Amino acid sequence: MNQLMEIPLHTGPEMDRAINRTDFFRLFKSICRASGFDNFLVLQHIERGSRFDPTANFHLTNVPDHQKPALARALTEDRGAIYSRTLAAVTPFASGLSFETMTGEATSSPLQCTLALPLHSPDGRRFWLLLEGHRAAPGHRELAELMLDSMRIFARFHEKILVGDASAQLTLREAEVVRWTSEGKTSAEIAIILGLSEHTVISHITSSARKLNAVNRVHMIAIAVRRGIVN
Amino acid sequence: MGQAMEAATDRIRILMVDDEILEFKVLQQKMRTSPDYTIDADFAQSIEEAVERAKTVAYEMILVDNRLLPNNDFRETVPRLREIGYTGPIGVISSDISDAYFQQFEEFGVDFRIGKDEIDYHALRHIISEYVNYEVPEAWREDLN
Repeated sequence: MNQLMEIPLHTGPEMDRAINRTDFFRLFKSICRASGFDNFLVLQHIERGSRFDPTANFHLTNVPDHQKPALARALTEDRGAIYSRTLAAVTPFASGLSFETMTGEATSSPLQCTLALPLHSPDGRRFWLLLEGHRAAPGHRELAELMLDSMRIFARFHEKILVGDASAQLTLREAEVVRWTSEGKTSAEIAIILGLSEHTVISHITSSARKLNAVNRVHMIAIAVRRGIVN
Repeated sequence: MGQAMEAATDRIRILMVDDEILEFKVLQQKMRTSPDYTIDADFAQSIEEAVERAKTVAYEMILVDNRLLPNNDFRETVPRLREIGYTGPIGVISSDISDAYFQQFEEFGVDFRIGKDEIDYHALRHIISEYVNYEVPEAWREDLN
């Protein structure tokens, strides 16, 4: 077999090519599978007394949508002692419970592990990468490699996905979508005009509105007019 | 997982465009392993056939093989689907997505790219959740009526 084929995706050139959420899903899934875990969850850190909200705090995961609320509840209730340890720890740690055990869908078995890897954004926000599966906790060397790989992926994820939301500057495509919205076009109509999917158009509208601090489409257009983005 | 079968209510219509029917059979088999969705997969062997099918069936998603003879790559084929007003998600799949032009996929109306060997039920579920079953926040829905 070609040796190149054996290089895990996340350690090859795809790392530097990741653009959208699916690209990052592929990278996190790769690190998960290459290390013998079954599931991953990029989790935003929450402070003591808060509850995990799947929509706001689960940034990317391969856990099915319908299982996310149960997992958020289990984490909030500190099953597996993950929540309490994220509050106290700034280093990686492992829990001996799987996601299924935490949510009560499976019974505990000796060979299961949830590994929590701490991640930090340059602006000081804290995140965790949870890797979960039916395997033993990693040793020091493997842990060091997992930390390095997850930090590299997260740095790019932050730059391309998380900061993208926080930047105040509209991209050319976003400005174009805002202009068509100001002409009264629906997302579906804009998608046809620009040759994009409706999903992409809605993503551009949502992203533009966040950048402009707008609360809805009308507000977004009003701000865009004031700033001269549309005439 | 236990609740997975209870959630198997969604029926997703997908069009797979590939000039190799064997590739379609492989993907169809992978789609059968997903317990969360029932996937109805149709097959088209050329972009012309895909365009005709997309005119008559409202597919929730179209997956296009990057190299469809006699076309060069997705930069030629995907705009053909957009020209007929298809506004659903389009994914490009390929055994090799490393060429530099793949970085421009969004400009050609492509929503995502993925390697053929990366497609499994986790990837399919993510794609469906991300592009088909996504919910638009209330504030960003159309201000119609």
